[in-house]
Amino acid sequence: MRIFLRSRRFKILLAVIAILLVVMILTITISRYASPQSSFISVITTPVQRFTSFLSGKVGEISDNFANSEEISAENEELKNRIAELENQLTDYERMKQENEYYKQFLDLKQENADFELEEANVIARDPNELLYRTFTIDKGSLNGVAQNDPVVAQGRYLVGYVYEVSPSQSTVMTVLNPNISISAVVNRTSDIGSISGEVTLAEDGLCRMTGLSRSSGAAAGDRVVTTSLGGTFPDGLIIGTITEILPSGSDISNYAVIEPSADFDDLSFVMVIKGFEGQTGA
Amino acid sequence: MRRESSSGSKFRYIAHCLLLLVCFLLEVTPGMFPVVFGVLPKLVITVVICVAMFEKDLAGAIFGLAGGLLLDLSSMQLPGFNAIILLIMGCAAGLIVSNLLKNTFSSAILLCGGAVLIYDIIYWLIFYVFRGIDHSLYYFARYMLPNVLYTLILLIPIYFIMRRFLKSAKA
Repeated sequence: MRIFLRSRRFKILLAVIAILLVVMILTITISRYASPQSSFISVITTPVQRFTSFLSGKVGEISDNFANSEEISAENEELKNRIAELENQLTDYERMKQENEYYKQFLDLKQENADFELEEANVIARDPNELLYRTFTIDKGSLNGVAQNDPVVAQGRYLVGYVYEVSPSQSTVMTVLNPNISISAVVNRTSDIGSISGEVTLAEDGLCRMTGLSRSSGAAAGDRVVTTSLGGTFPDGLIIGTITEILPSGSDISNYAVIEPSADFDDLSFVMVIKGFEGQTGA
Repeated sequence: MRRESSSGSKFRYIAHCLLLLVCFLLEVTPGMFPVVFGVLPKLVITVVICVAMFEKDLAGAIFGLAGGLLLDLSSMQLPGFNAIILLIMGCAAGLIVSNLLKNTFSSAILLCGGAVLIYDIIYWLIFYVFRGIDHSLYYFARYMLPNVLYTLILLIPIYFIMRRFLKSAKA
């Protein structure tokens, strides 16, 4: 052991650790752009991650089909002669219909907000240490015009979170379930303003909370919560979720609302990044 | 004693690299590996520790660095955090096996379990306790301790596959 501690190998090891620490500190203090080593590696690994994500989706489809195969085979035997000609047409129709539904959601968003600059993205990876909060990585980065704090939506105009870290070819998204997030929001019906953040026990049920509601607030279960443009990070009107209950805050005289997000975090494979909008001021 | 050919050792390291890459993809790609009670095993750390046990400290450090850099890609936390931790763990595991413990399955359980536990404790302290996140103790008990157990279960196939493969490669 002493020989190792005095060896050149150990000194090289210490030097590598020191370099990594310096890069880490510089990256934190200067910006939330990904570190140089992560940016370089991400250019190589993003295509691989995109492929494995696609593969994972296909495996899921195959296992679903296998579970239902007995029933489908029996029905198929009866109808085989009649529908043989229409099967190919049906496959094309289904594919086009799915694509159409997907794009229609975002077309509505674009039509209502002509100033939005949108970038579609695929979810290619998750943060294994942040599984509870569904933190994920998308396959678009600074080369596609994506920047830090860009809002991310899914299934139309449901807010998922925002871009936390950017590499040239990929970005990491922090979701509304994360305790470190803070998003200005307003209750649509009563105009009460508060702040959205996550919480460990709520995130287990896929919920988040809206803090800072006054005790006299008229907000109630069933009210819709949307983003506000206060601060310039988010545009007005992106749907965050619905209030399920109002509870007193344990630490001060305000209330907080438990929010059920409208976005389906368990079924996220495509999202849209809002790269630009009128009134955006960035970080 | 017969010296192992350089092509044999190159083949071994290529195999280790592939295993590391596969485990990384399994760990980070949604839907590729089963999540049990909200927990995923730490496959990358497992591979790093196993490589360190079989190939000793320098290889352990290099594979730790590589595995950590890969994990940093998908992580939203401190850039370089995983790289530093896994580099040190890989080196330490290699040194422990060289000087203190024999390379057995019991040692693998001890080293891998210890590594994952230490990683989780450091992560929990920095990103939960020091940040004042509510219910941090609950998070540790509910998610991080089961994570150690799940990882140790996956250690069994990874360790024995690696041991079998290295025996065949040296034969």
